[in-house]
Amino acid sequence: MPAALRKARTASSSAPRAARSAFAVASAPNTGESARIASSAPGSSVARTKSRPHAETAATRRPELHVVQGRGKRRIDAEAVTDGFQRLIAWVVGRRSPFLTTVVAAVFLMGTLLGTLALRTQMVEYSFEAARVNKSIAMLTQDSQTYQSELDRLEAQLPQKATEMGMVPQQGTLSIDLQGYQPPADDASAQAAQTQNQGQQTQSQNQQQTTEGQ
Amino acid sequence: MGGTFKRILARHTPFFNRVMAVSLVFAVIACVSLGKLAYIQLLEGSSTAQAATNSRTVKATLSAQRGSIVDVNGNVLAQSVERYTIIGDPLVASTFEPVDCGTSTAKAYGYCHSIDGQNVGETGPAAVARLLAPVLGVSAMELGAKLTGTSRYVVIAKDVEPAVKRQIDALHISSVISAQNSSQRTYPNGSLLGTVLGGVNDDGSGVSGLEQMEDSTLTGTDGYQIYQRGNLGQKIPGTETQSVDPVNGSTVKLTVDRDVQWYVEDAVKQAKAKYNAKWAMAVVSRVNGDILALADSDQYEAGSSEAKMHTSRVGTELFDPGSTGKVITMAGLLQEGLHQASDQFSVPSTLTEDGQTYKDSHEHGTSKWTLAGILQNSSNVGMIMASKNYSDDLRYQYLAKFGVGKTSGLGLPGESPGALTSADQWDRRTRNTVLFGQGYSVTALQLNSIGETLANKGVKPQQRLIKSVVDANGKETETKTGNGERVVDEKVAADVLNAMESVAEDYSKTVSVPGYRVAAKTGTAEVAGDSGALTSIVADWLGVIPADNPQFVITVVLKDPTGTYGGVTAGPVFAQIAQFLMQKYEVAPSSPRTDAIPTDW
Repeated sequence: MPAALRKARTASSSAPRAARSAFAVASAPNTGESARIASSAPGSSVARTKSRPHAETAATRRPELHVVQGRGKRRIDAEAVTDGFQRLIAWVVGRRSPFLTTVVAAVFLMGTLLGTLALRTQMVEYSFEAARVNKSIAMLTQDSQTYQSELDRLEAQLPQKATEMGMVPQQGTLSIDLQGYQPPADDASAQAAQTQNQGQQTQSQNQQQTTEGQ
Repeated sequence: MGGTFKRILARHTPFFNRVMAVSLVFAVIACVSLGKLAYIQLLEGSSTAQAATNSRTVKATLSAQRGSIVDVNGNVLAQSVERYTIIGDPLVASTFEPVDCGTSTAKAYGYCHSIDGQNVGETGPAAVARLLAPVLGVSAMELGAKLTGTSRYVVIAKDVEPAVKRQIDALHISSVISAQNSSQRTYPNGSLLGTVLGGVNDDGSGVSGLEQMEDSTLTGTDGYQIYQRGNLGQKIPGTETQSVDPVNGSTVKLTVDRDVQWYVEDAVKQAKAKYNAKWAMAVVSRVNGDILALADSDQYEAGSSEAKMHTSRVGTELFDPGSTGKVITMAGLLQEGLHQASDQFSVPSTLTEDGQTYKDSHEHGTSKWTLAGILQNSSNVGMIMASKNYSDDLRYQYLAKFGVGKTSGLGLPGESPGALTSADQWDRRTRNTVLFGQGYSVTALQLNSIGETLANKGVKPQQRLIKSVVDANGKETETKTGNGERVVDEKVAADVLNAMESVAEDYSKTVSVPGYRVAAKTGTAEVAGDSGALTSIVADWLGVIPADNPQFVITVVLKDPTGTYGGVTAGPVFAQIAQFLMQKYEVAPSSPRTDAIPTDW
């Protein structure tokens, strides 16, 4: 079957302008019908010699056949993409006017060149932006360093300034002996608190004086 | 040959021949040009392009920042900040022409030069100087003089702050004036820890103190960047190839607490003034050897040339400890089992042995003292009596074990190990005077270490000044010090501290920290004066607080104070510092004393 199809294709490409009355029926774009008609391909070469070259009409123009690879399932993957691409190339190449091929090739080339130019321009723009941002970061880092060292300097002067103002450092400690004091709790936790605090008889706590001086 | 040529010429018209001849000449020229073009473009093309790239490729060093020194709470003690060195180009300055505001060139360039709204009015170095001088705050004439000449590089100003540098950038004289990155070391705390921190030299490497000691840790590794630069020196973006990031220096974290250091320095300064002493110093540490403060009465700004020329007295000033050395003797006697702390003695005021006479500091009749009482009353005679069977070798051994004659291990530059002669070199007097702290010399750090050993249950801890090192990525590595070495048993250390508490109780009228028990030993030693004779006095006080649960060890040393004795001069300073520490670190008050070893019988 494929061999017959191939033959039909070559027959159609080798005799594009042959008007075959036998193929008038085949103007329907049904590949099945074409296949039946193609099986009588040997007969077409006989008909060819009898046909007149410029009698082609819209009705008698052959459909352009191209090979369609059988695909069981629809697969969207690299293979399918390259497959589609190959079909596109085959279609372009198989077109009648070679001019289109040249145009497509030229457009493709221009496209890649423009694309490269655009990418390159964008890259350089970004690198300028990056340089500007880096400069800004460096400036901000310097600023923060300046403020931090100013802060450190002021903090270091704190004890001196406090003494000049008349403040004195805290002196002495105050301790409170709780002597087993339990805070008042509700009945539910009173039992638990009692058993827990049995071991602790005395608690002492440091209390610091306020800075009102001594 | 000529015949065929004539025939070719004859075949065509003369006009044709002339045209051909001229075309031939042009063709030859074209061929030669084509050949040269092909040579330049095809044969030498890549190497010329490479040479062009090389001429604008530059390898710039990215300097690493020096690490900072911080205290235990992270307060900055020393830090490097970014500064700029302003460079001038006198050759370009000579052709400098300022752009007056409002002219078409100003519009074209987008900037103009003006001083206070008026045109500069001059050209050349004078114009640059007039523009730059107000920003830098120097005289315009000096600046103009520096910028005159034909050299390409002259340093105009060093350590310029970034804010000022930005103002210089805004002047639009970058063809003449450029700025290079540099760094400056700042010490925000002024003279705090001045000599201990030390300083750096012009290259930025440490030359004294901690800056020198930790120089390898603080210094980072420079990186570099290879890129292409434009005519004015700017980096062409997108042309960076190789680069290595700089690694900043690590931060050194000290065990010193800045607040404690400030207070101790203040106390020591006041003591020197109050007692008219030649100098005063103090060391405060925790029982595990971490140093909280090391202060002496010298006040040098950190990083200044004085700070770089001097060292901290706590590690370099040698003195005989005096009576404070008796604690070593007592510890040795108890450890060797020669005596108990409660053994009874009848101690006279003077003693003659081997032709040498020894006296106590105060006259007293024959007193009935225990060994603890001998320590409490600081009796030289009693110590000699108790050491009858205490051999010279053992005396030396315990002195060495307690750290006399060895450096503290901190590694401070210029630190002295003290002086301790070996036992076989002792004469008949020295072998007895070492029992009460004369005949060998120690530093304040070593004296403090003796207290630390007794407070640390008999284990001599390794003193530590550097708590940890934080590298540029933030990873903190603590300095390990090991477990220390055992010098005496725990019971022996406890007994000696007990006796020391009795010493402190004696002074409780002048030296007391309310709410806390103190264990201490005073010392008053005669040391060499200016003339070389034993005319000067060193008064010291070694204290452990609280006595029941030691937390801190404080040593105060004064030279030639009025009042002479350690108990009345160094003691109050100790009390002041101890009180501050107790409230700062919220230490629990001591429970009353119950187990005092009897001091007399």
